[in-house]
Parts: sequence; C-alpha cells; structure tokens
Amino acid sequence: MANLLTRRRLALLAGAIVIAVVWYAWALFFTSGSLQFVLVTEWGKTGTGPGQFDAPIGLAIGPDGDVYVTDSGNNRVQRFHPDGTFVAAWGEEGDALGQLDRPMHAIFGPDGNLYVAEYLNDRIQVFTPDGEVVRAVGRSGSEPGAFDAPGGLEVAPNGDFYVADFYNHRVQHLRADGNFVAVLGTSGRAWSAALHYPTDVAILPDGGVVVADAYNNRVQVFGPDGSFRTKWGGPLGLGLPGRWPGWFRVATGVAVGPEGRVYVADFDNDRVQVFSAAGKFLGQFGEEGNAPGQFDRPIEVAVSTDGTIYVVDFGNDRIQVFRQQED
Amino acid sequence: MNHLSLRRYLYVFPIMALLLSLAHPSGALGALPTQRPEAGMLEVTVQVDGLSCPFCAYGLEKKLKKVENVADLSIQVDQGRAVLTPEVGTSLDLEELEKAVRDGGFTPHGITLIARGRLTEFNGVPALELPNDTVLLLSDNAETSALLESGSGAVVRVEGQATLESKDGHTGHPYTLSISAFEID
Repeated sequence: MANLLTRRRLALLAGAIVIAVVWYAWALFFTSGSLQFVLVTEWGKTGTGPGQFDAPIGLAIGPDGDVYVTDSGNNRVQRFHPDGTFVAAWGEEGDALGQLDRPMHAIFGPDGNLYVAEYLNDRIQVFTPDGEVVRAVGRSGSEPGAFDAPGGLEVAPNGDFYVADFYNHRVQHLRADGNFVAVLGTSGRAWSAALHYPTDVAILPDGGVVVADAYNNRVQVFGPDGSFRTKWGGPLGLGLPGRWPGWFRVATGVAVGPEGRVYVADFDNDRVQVFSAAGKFLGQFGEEGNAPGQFDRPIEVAVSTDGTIYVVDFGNDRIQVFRQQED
Repeated sequence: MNHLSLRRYLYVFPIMALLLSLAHPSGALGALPTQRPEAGMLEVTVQVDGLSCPFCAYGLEKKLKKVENVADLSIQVDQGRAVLTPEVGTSLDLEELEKAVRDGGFTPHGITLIARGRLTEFNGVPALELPNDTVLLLSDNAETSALLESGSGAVVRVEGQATLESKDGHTGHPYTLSISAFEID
C-alpha cells in the first residue's frame, strides 16, 4: 500500500515536471522578444470635427505617405499628413455610392486606390486618394462573392483581394472585379484553418495570407493557394485567451512590415505584438491607459515602407505613431 | 399713399397677424384637445454580454436594424445593451428580436420595454394588447393587481421585463410581461 502511494506521488511529480519543462520551453520561445518601440507622435480626440474621431477603426497608408483613417462612428474617411495634419474628409451615413455605413479596415491597392470594407453595406468600396468613388464590390449573403459584415481586407500585388468575412467566418479570395476565386478557412474553433469571426488580413512578401482570427484569439497564415501554413496564439495556437507574450485577447488587426514581420493589434490586451512570419514572438509595446504610448483597445496597426508604425487607439479616439528603437 | 394711411397699415398688420395666429388651431384660442398617444411599444431594451469591440457592436446593430418596425437604434457598449425605438403605433416581434441578437453572436439576457396598450384577457390570463397582433401576458404581481383594478379595456402605459415562459424554446407563445411601473391614460 505504501509502495502504491509512493508510485502515485512519483507519477504525479514526473507529470508536473514534464508540464513545467514543456511550459518553460514554450515560454522561452515566445518571450525571447527584444525589440523595443518608442512613441513618435499622436493625434486625434473624440468628436465630429476635422481631425476628431468617433470610434476610428481602419488605417491605410497612401502612396504619398498620407494616412487615411476610417472614422466608423462618423461614417467617414479622414485623410492626414504623416505628422497628423488634417487634409480632408469624405463620406456620410448611407448605402449609395460615396456614402458609408460603418467603414472598418481599409487598405491601399497596387492601383493607388483606397479599398474600404463597409460592415453594414456588405461591400468593398474603392476610392481615389481624393475621395472620388471608383467602384463598389460585393453584396449581402453567404454565397461565394457575398459578404456578411466584411471587417477587413488586403489587396495583392496582382489586384486580387482577400476579405475577412466576419459573420461568414471565412476569408474570401476575389478577383479585382469581385469574381470569386476561393475561400480560405472554415468556420470553427481551435483546429488549424478554423476561423471564428475573422477581422483583418495582410499579405506576406511571399504571398502568404495572414489572418486576424479575432475571436479565436490567434493569427493564422495560409499559403497563396489557400492551404493552411501555420497558426499562433497561446499554446499550440489553440487560441486560448491570455496576457502572456504570444497570447491574445481578441486579435483585431494585422499588418506586415517592410522586413516581413507581422504586427498584431491585441485589442483587449491593450498592446501591439510583433512576430516573425513563422510566429516567433519578437516584441510588444503598449499598456492600458490614455497617456501617450498607452492604449484603450488598439484595433488596427499599419506599417509604412520606412518602418513607421501607426496604431488606431480605438477607445481613446486617436492615432499613435511609433518606431522601433535603435540599439 | 399719404403719411397717415401708411401709419395705419403699420398698426393694423401686426394686430391682424396676432389675431390670426391666436385663431389658428395650433394657437392659444384654437388649441385642439391633446390627442391621446398611439398604442404600441415605445422603447425596447435588450441586455447582452460581450459588447466590447466595434465588430460586435456594429454586428448587433446590423442584425437589429433588420427587425421589422425598428425606427431608431442605439448600441450602448458600456452598458452592454441595445435600445430600440419602434415606429410610432407599432410593436416589435420580440421573438424576431431575440433571434436577431443570437444571429449577431450574442445571448439576450433580458428584454425590458415601455409600451402603451389596452388591458385584455388571453385564455383567461390578464394581458396587454398591442398593435401588430401582439399580446403580452401580465405576470401575477402587485403592480399587475393594482393595474387590473382599472378594468379590462383600459389603456395603460407600462414598463416591465418581457420573458418567454416556454421552456422548450420559441414556440409562438406570448411573452410574459412583469410590470415594474404603470400609468393609466
């Protein structure tokens, strides 16, 4: 009897050691990030006037470096110079061309135009940098080519675009004219390629498609052909929510920097995390608050060609700009 | 026109304008009796959990906008609720409302409403009759007892929480309204 008890104790101890070793190895891998970031500038406050925001969500960097912010509560797009100087605004609530209904993430395409995901109008509306309507793509529904609340998108170098189709739990690959090509991911939790309310997309230099799998609390990467490549966010990328490096609590925005790093807006953790394209944790910045450098639910991150990092500080109704600190 | 007649016009016109304005139905002398407000739901509030991000809030907004007879809608993220104002003289289908909340990815945790309707009976149970063939059963509490003293057929304004009594999900049964306050018109 005494031997049996001792064996059980030993087995429990061995199990605990194994778990601790695995945990340590995992933590070492994910917490070895050393990149540091510093605040450069910030702008914006709550309101409806020029340069003010009511729930800003998307941010796109134009060919000339100007910054375009989707001001979702005001149903408009605002354009700024990189230093935050207000340039112009357009849009009003509605579903006609030129009007907007909850504009979400936005991105510039290789054609030099701004693509805006419209959540309530179930379409992607395309504008020139001056706000002239070029076209709109999409319709309401769940069939191929239709959307149910498109939250974010990315345009590939050939003009194809990938749309995070929020309520349909999928990413759609479409031609520039809106013709359907393929679906990336399936609706679900935990498993590889399973998506649960995806909100944003970014493209890696090799054509890989990075998806903000928001309510799975993780990032997933697909190949250009739609095949699953990798995932991360908590242990084994299962998507358990958490505050440790490499974990997320609602990953709402993704961007790929000029060096191929993946930047993730970690919404409920009030921070931005930076990873390699393979998912190795490299660094993070931000904490809860409204002081400069702090966040109240960052929702989108965008990186310019010179490495400047723009973060949409959703709850604080402002834009904050960072750069990597040199050694 | 000489100087005197011009002065006369200056006096006469304002006096005539004043008399006309008083005689107008909207003026003091011709005021119509106050019209009784129409029956219908006046405000419906749905409590939900997890309304932290705009993808959720706008998603809920999107689904609720499609509910029939919704005139206005406000998603209050900090309070975790959606406040709907129905079209004047209409009722919302509460079952459709709950389904819309679920379609938005949320679980409704309670519907409170303000409504004006006529006291009636439904299968022998006290009830409130509203437009759009809507009947809300009145739960057995002190407010209901006090309200029933005004007699069947009375038009009343009530506030309360609406719940579906059926344990088997939505079966088309009327909702039950637990009254917290009322006024008799």
